[in-house]
Amino acid sequence: MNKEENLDHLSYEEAILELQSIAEEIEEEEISIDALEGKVKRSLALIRYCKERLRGTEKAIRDIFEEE
Amino acid sequence: MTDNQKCITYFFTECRIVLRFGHTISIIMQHLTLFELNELIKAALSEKLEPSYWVIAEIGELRMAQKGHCYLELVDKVEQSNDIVAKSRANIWSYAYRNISGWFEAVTGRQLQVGMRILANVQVQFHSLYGMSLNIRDIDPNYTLGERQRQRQATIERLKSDGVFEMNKALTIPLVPQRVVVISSAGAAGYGDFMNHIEGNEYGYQLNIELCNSLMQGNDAANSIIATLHQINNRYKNYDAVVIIRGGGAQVDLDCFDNYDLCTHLAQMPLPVITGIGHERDETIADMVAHTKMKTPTAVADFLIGRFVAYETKMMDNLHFISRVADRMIGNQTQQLSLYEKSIGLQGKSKLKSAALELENLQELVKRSCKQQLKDKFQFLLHREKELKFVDPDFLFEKGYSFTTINGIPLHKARQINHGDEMNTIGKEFAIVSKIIKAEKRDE
Repeated sequence: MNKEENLDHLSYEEAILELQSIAEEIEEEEISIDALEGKVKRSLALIRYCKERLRGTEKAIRDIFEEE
Repeated sequence: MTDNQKCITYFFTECRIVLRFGHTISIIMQHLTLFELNELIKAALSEKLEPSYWVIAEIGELRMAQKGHCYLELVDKVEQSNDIVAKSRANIWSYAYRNISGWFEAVTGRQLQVGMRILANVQVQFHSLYGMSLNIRDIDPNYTLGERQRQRQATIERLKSDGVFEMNKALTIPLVPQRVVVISSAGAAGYGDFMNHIEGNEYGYQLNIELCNSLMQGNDAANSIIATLHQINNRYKNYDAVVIIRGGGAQVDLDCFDNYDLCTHLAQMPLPVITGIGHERDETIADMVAHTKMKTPTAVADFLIGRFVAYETKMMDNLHFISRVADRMIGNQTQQLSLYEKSIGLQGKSKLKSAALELENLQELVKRSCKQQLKDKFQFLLHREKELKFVDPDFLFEKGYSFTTINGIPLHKARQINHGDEMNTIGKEFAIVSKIIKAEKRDE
């Protein structure tokens, strides 16, 4: 998935800023129902990415592969 | 001096003799034994000097001996330099030492140690064998305290006027300080506690901790820490923050953290510094210039983990908010659609119903219309039939009427009827042929 690759370069700051801006957009109801699905998916992707990074899961997995 | 060269100076009030190069000139002079000389010196000192003096000096050396006596070397240095201008041995007898050191520690919080400047009450002693030494009978800890405070204040002022005092505080600790370099002593309990708290955190957060080993106490601590700061500075982009920790204990030596060199390096680090030096009492200058100070190494660990928690909580709050609003939006839309569906359905049904009704009505109308039409037509025909009856010749013949022609022309069309014309008359039973006798016009 293209979007997942983008996440590799996000810093914690960038991730939370993006999430906050999505929240604002949704609150102002500037999002159409069509775009809603995309935005919600993006939020979930951001959260998953951050959780993995916080817990080093991502890195641990990468390390395992590097050891191979 | 070699054996061949001996130079002895006798000091007599009366005469002076110098013996050199092995030549002996013996003169019958007054002489003393060394012992006697020393006794002389001792007496002179005793006579000339006060029983005791208050003296300011720095402790150059200090050691404890058997029975609890303390032996020191006191020095006097030029201010702010290491040039010694005076030096003297000193001692504190055990009975005095117990009191003095106890009181000293109570007031200053630290033990007597090398490098300290003290205000001591000394008695000059001259011993035949051991020469001159000072017997310390008392030490005023408030002087040392004041000295230390003065030095600390001077260091703080210097850092402020250099413009570096607030520098580290101006940096920001990243939202999530995941890459942390720790300056500590590897075997220290403080470091162990710190790592336990980090690695054992209940949330499963992962931090990349790199340890830079350094001396954290003693005379070389300051330089050791400064060297470590240099190393870190060379690769500062690899880290999010620097942590300086050391274990606490009953009496910790925090002098290095008041050291000007260390503090100026710390203040100018390009990374935010967090201290957890583990002490109960005063702030050290390092604490003041660091970005954040915590009381203990475990408090530092909790602080770092706390940043992770705050970040994740905020992310989750945002997610929940998005989720709620999205749900609400979808709910609204679904409701709308449902309403439309119902409305269209209802309208559709009613339209169908009214159409069906209309159809039915039309049907009825057509039916009735047809019936009526048929009835009317039938009536018409019936009427016509009746009418026709009246013009049916047979009917008329029955009534006694007849049909008459004059010379073949029907009577009503005849213009002139003459005597002798032929007249045919058809009636019910007879067809009569007759001749006209007379015909008159009927004028009304």
